[in-house]
Amino acid sequence: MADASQVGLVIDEVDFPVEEGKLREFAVAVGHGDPRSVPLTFTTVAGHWRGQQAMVELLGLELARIVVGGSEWEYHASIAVGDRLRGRRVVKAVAQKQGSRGSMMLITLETRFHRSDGQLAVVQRDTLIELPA
Amino acid sequence: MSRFERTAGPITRTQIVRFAGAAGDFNPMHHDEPFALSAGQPGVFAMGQLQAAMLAAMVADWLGAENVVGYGVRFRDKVWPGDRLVLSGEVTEELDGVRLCELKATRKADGALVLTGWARARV
Repeated sequence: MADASQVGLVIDEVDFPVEEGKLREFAVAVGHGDPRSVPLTFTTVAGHWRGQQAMVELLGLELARIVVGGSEWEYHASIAVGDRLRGRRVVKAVAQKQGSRGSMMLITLETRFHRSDGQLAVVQRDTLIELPA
Repeated sequence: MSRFERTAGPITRTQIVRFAGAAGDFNPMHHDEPFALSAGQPGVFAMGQLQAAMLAAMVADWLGAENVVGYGVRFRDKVWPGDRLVLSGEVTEELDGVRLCELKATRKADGALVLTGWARARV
């Protein structure tokens, strides 16, 4: 079970290239038609470089009770093929919420992706919901 | 344009697998039918990030990817192979050269809400 003491905990760190082939695969899968721009949610490709199972175990969550409630992105600087993105995933917030079937935990994870020149490019936040037992 | 809408899909298993390869999400629930059935689901269903990225692609075409400063979604319902989605957005506010837009994705067949979202974009 998640708790407020986990705020600030570093879950993992990724460092990966923005590759043309992966970009193309992503764009075709989602119907992103503009070849000059990177799909807005492209940082989800970080999934190749970090494990959800390890995250769930580190936070002491029960996988069967976890759903992703939502995701959001902030755009600070452009990214392009040839860049590398480096980001640390941290626990940003843990909150308790009363639902109709009991108490749920909302866990917000944040990754700030920096380019290799050090410039902050994209901030991604995912909110996990730990459903009542 | 203060409003934008398009229909996407139908979602196919091939598309789900392609997105699994793109995003690195190999949770078997999304591509392995026997696994999904054994978990009590009627079959495989799309990962939420697939429809989130489809809605984002609409936003990029509508507002221009280079203008978008923020984008977010909440997952409301599952999307199944065969589903067509109606993706739409509407400008609700404009302040200091930034437009705030409300977004949603609904299932075409029954109108069920599958995603709600927002985008902020420079004018």
